[in-house]
Amino acid sequence: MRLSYQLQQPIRPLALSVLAWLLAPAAHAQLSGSAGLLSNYMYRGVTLSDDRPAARLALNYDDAAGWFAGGQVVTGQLAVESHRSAQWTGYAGYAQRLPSGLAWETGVTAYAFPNKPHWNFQEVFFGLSGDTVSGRLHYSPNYLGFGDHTLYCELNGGWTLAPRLQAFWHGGYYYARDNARTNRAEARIGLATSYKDWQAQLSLDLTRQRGGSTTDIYGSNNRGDSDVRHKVVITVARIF
Amino acid sequence: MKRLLALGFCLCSGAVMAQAGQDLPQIVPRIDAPAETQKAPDNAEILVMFHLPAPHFRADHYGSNNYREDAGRAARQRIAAAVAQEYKLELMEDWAMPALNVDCYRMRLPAGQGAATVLDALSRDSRVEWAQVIQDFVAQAGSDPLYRTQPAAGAWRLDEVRKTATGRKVTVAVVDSGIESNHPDLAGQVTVEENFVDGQKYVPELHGTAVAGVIAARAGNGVGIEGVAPDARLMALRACWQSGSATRCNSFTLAKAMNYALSNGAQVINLSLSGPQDRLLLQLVEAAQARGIRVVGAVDPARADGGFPANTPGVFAVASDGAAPHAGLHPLLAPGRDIPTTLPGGRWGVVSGSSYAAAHVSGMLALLEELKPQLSVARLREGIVPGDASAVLTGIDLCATIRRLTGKCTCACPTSSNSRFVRSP
Repeated sequence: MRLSYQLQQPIRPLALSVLAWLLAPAAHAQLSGSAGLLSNYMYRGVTLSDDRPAARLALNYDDAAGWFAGGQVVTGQLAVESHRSAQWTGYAGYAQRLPSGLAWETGVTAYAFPNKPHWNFQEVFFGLSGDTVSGRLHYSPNYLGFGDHTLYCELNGGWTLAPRLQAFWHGGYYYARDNARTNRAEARIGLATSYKDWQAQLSLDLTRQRGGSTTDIYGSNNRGDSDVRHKVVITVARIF
Repeated sequence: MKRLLALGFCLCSGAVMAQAGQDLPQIVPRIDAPAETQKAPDNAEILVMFHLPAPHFRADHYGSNNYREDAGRAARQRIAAAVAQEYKLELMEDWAMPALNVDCYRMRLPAGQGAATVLDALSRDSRVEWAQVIQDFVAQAGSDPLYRTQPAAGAWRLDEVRKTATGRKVTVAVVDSGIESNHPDLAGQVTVEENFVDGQKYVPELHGTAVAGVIAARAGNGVGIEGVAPDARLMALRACWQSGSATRCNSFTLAKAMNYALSNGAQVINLSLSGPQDRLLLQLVEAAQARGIRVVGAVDPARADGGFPANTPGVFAVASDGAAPHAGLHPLLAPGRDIPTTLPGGRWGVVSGSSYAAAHVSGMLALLEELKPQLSVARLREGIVPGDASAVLTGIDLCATIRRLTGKCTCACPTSSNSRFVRSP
């Protein structure tokens, strides 16, 4: 039996997510997740929910040896879509902390858009984490199916302001070797709090596009000049 | 004569004289091992470690590295709850210790139950990394005006050393009872105050305040004493608490403080305490050493091996000058008798014991860290020059040590060196 092309596309991320469940019986395995609502699903500085609220379900699996896997599904909506649709992400990798306190990780990520399967793409990533700052470099040979070789570099950090209040920051730069007009820098600063199994975040997301133009997926302008945009995002999630 | 007068002034102004040899916090096992032969006291507690994954990408991650609030914690809490239920333990609290890749859960045994059986069962449980009892630390406690009364002032020639080094920008973690940060001689010296004792607020206490003063009391402020490294920055990590005349700590409170020191940039960790071997604390000490952090431990004169952590390889074990030798242990000797230092209530007093000898060495290491931050612990230890044996207060020749390790001439520089070496276990 042959699966339809459209059905095949989310298979990889879905498989990575299901892997977590398959491995769950290991006694020491840690399976966790979150279910929540986002006022805007911002991905690397652009909205993947057309500036509308979205729901997210995420799962993560960790084993005692350092292997991890997980996935999420978001009810996103690209600018070219008229309705919400599921956007899948799956990932798997390995992470280890060194005696120096520095931790490293490497893994693969697969993104799937069942309604627009030609945008599906995969990435590999490598990251380093210290006690307060972490950095990660992602590479995709075919970002969003455009055939672009892209790099995305991100730095993340945070600190505790009070027992239940943390501040966090994030900065990222997206670089497309074959399409410099889509290069962009983005940043996020915010506050996070929690109560029992609930988490809430408030953040300000800033994006600066080099050429003021990206793909039609994101629905951005094409004026050709630099453009700094900001979004305020609220997220509420229940962890489990 | 000046020293005697100053001492008299000190005592008349409300100083506290600690009894020699009784200042050192000691670890007394709450549950003796093997505990099965004895009935454990009520409310005995154990620590159960679960694997803490290294930080990694997750789709719902929001940026920070905060382990206490991340989604993965829920999974560990579920496992811990299941373990607690299975072994009839009461879940008390948890504390992630990234330096060891463990999430440490404090659990309470049923009243009267010994720990040995539970620990044995947990050691075979694949959900658990390892478990141990919580052991108690018990302290059986019992130019500025006072500068000339400080043994280190003359023996270590601090006046001259300060021309070269003051411990500037070196962070020393004082894992102890609370430090009085607004003491006139400590004001501005404490950059971080953290409390790791459950159910209590941070309060200034005797032992921590006295140790802090020896390390980093302000110099040249016209009052009190001068610390060995007056420009060092202190992390006041309250892991011990004063209980009457005693100062107590335990494995869990000390581990939380050590974990904090490791994660927040401590360069020297002062542990003026002692007790039996403790797996959790030992791993944290080793993790600190792996990161190049200098760990100083006070030798317990009542223990044949000097007690933990002083008996740990790589730890700078320090005994009070004139202390009886320990078989197999060759600690550094530093001033530890009749030491004027800071006390709570804005006072000064005289204290004695290896706690304060250790504090002197922590101050010395802060000076060396300022001058030569990249030195390996082994090189550092080899470079410490013992003092003249005829002078009881000069367990270490600080000037010669600095000269040997950094090449900087801090005191009167001889034309030739007859440096000797001292080695600690």
